[in-house]
Amino acid sequence: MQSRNPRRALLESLRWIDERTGLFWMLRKSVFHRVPRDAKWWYVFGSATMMFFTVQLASGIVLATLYAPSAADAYQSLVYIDEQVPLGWFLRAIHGWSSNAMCAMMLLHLAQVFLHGTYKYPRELTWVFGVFLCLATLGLAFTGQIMRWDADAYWGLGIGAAIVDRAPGIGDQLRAIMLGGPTISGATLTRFFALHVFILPGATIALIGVHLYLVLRNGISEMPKPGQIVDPATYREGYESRVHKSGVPFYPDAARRDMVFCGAMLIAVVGVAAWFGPFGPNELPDPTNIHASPRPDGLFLWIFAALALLPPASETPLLLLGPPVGIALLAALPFLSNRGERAPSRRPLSVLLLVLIVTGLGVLTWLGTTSPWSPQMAAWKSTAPDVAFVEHRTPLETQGLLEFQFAQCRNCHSIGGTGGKRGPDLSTVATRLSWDQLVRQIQQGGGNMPAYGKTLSSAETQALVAFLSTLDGGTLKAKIPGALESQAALDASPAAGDRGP
Amino acid sequence: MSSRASIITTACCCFVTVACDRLPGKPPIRAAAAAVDTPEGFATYYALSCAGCHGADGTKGPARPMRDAAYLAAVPEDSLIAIVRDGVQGTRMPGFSSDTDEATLARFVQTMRVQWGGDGTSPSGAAAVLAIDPANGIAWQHVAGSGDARRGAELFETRCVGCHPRATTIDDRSTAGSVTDRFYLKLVSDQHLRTSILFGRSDLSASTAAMPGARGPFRGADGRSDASALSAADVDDLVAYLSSLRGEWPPSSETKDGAR
Amino acid sequence: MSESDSTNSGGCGDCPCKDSGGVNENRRGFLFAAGTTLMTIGGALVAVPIIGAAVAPAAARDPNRWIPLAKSADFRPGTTVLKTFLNPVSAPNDGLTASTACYVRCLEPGKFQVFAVNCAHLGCPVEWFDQSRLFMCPCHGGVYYEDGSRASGPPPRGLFEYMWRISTDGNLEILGGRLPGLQEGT
Repeated sequence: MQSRNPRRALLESLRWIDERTGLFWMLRKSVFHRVPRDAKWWYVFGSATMMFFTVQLASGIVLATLYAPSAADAYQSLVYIDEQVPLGWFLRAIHGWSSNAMCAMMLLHLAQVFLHGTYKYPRELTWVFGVFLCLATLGLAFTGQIMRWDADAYWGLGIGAAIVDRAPGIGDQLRAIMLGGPTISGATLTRFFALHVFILPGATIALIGVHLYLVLRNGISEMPKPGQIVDPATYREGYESRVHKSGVPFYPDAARRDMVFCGAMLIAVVGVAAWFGPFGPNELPDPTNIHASPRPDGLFLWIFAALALLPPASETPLLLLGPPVGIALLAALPFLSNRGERAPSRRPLSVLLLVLIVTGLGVLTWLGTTSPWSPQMAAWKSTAPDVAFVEHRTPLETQGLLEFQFAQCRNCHSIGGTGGKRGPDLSTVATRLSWDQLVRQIQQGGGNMPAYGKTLSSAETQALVAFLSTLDGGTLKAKIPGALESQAALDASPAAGDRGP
Repeated sequence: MSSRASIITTACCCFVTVACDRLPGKPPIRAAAAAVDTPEGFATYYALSCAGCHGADGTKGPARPMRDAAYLAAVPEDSLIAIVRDGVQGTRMPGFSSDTDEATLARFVQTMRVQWGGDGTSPSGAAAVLAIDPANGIAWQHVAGSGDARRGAELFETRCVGCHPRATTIDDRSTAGSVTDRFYLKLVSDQHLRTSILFGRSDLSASTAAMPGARGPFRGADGRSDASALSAADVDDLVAYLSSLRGEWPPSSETKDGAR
Repeated sequence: MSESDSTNSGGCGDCPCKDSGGVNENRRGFLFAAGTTLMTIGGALVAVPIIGAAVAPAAARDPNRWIPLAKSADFRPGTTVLKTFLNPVSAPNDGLTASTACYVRCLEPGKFQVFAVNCAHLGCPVEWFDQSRLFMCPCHGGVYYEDGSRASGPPPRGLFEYMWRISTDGNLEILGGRLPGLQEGT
């Protein structure tokens, strides 16, 4: 007994377990299943997505032991994790950055599968479950942002509630179920906590199980070859004979690339987390602090941008019908076309579609980061005009600049490159509008500008326009057409009668 | 041996923990915002709420520069606090009482006087500021009696018209522009006129000629210069003259055709 | 299979059902029906509190209550000020979210407009600017005039307004409690 080889003993016990569970048989079947020889670097994104999900599970479980899911305490518990818990900030940073990485890998995986037509027979359901996984992942990302329970989380929920509220007939009930009450409150946080730590991870695990089972059952697809048509009648036979002939075992042949890629990505994410630290929490989730300027996380910036750019009339139908229709179309894709060419070179329409979607999302995300449609709420009192706009001005023009700051023009309009971007930059406005046009624009508004006619007195308007009429790109000498004439006309008008000696 | 292993393990753990806590991603401790009476706190508050009109560094904004030792020395602390708290009715100075509590506002003003007042806010340093005081020691606020607008008009002719011609040709940039413009006068209070005459706008020195305070020197009609300083009565008269061009303050037509 | 084997004494192993006779079949059918029924009833009973608690907020009665803000005489005519109040429906762990803010515009003594801070577009907090007499939204740039009507930007309508009244002891009270949204009538 004692002289028994320990290695043999281990093997014995493993065999004992295998004989009763069949576990190793299954494991061997999945680990050593044959995959096409040409399954190369294109195929690493799915594995990387799953790896980051396991990172999320592990870091999330430990975070759940440190986090207080109560509206009264959540924010402080995050500050405590960041500042007091040893390595707590690092854990939060890894959870946050790994979440981004998981979403990025998932989207790459999705794009690759779409580009290569992998969703065609017999992998239609693999794709459908992949779409569900995509939704679950996005759900995890959104609910994760809520967990930070800061101003962005609070007002982000407000935006979600406002969208749900638009559903005709049932909006009110839906919103109450979503928020757990008539307002955003403690019940809302606990609801989203349950979603984030129980419901969505559980669903994701189950979906990954099905997704992987289907991958094993139908095999990993080959690289698409132009002319190699997918025909449900013959595909399986052809695939199996090819894989049998020229395939390699998943482990170690194909797994090597997955391991290299996953390892590199993992180290990169840890490095990024160590360098840039955790996300938020930013300001307190205080509904009475109206100075908040809510922004969603990067993943959802494109929605934020789309909501700014959509014409108001189409907004409600798009908000309510867009997501379900979009998801349904995505899930229905393999049923719309499940045979034929897989190679991108023979599917120009699909490639074009992918390019359009990626470009569209990219542009919207970029717009979302710059958000030029958002007024800079404090610009009027905090953004000092360049000295060049103060010097060489008459007293009236200086008063006009003062009015420009005071009447919050600066919140939406830049001069000299600083200020809001919602309205046009006014640095050279005098080259575009005449004196009368400036007066009309200020008084009547229009083109997405409120009318100031009721707010500004005639002297204020006059000073403002006098200042704006000097904004001709720096030459100052060239006066705008009509300025002198209207000034003279005003002086001669009966209203000028209160002018002294 | 196990004790050695545990020492090594502990050391490693300590090292990792300590090393990780020095990584650049570690968020800084959330300290309360710097108090308003520290230089940083003052700068933050000023940048957030004042810089838009009074200039990024307290000068060269469209509104009166605050980085002005003579002005800060001349205006009593209580008056400054009241102006910041309540704003000035009819002008473009808003009150900040809804944003900030009164104690913070008071400390902000006190800090401003220390930071930018030179020595002028302490009794011992007042003399030094007075020596260079552009206001020539004249009270910052109108005290009593009404100025003589007719005499003010004559003074305007000899002291002001050189830079502030009555009829500004609108593209003449060699002058500082009209101050008798009725729209300008409708927008500024008598106190604004008085403060501008007393303290000038020396911060706008890049202009053809920076506006001097009451101490001069001045340029009258035909560019004749006049080095004699203004007296307190002169200032009253000048303000009375300009004010007479406008009428009452705030101008009734403004309250009628404006919303406020 | 092994179970039916043991219960079918003397029967043919291949097809026990045919030989087992009507009694056994009835018994099996009854047991199956009983099992299904019991499981359904049991499941339904369990589901009552599970689903009930989850969707209860949708069935809650009108959360709006009359909430006093301040003495109506404290508001100066011609001003618009931010006021905060405690939500009538709240739980002990609500923390900061137990409060809500609103804008009170006093037109003349005893005449008010009370606006929600939530933008009618997507609920972001609008900020009041006394100088330009405008409400501006930091999210997508919705702007409203001082009477709450839409001035520019994406909002489909003006600001949400609370119903208000002046109580017998002179307090300005508003009917609040529900996060304002487009479903609201006003």
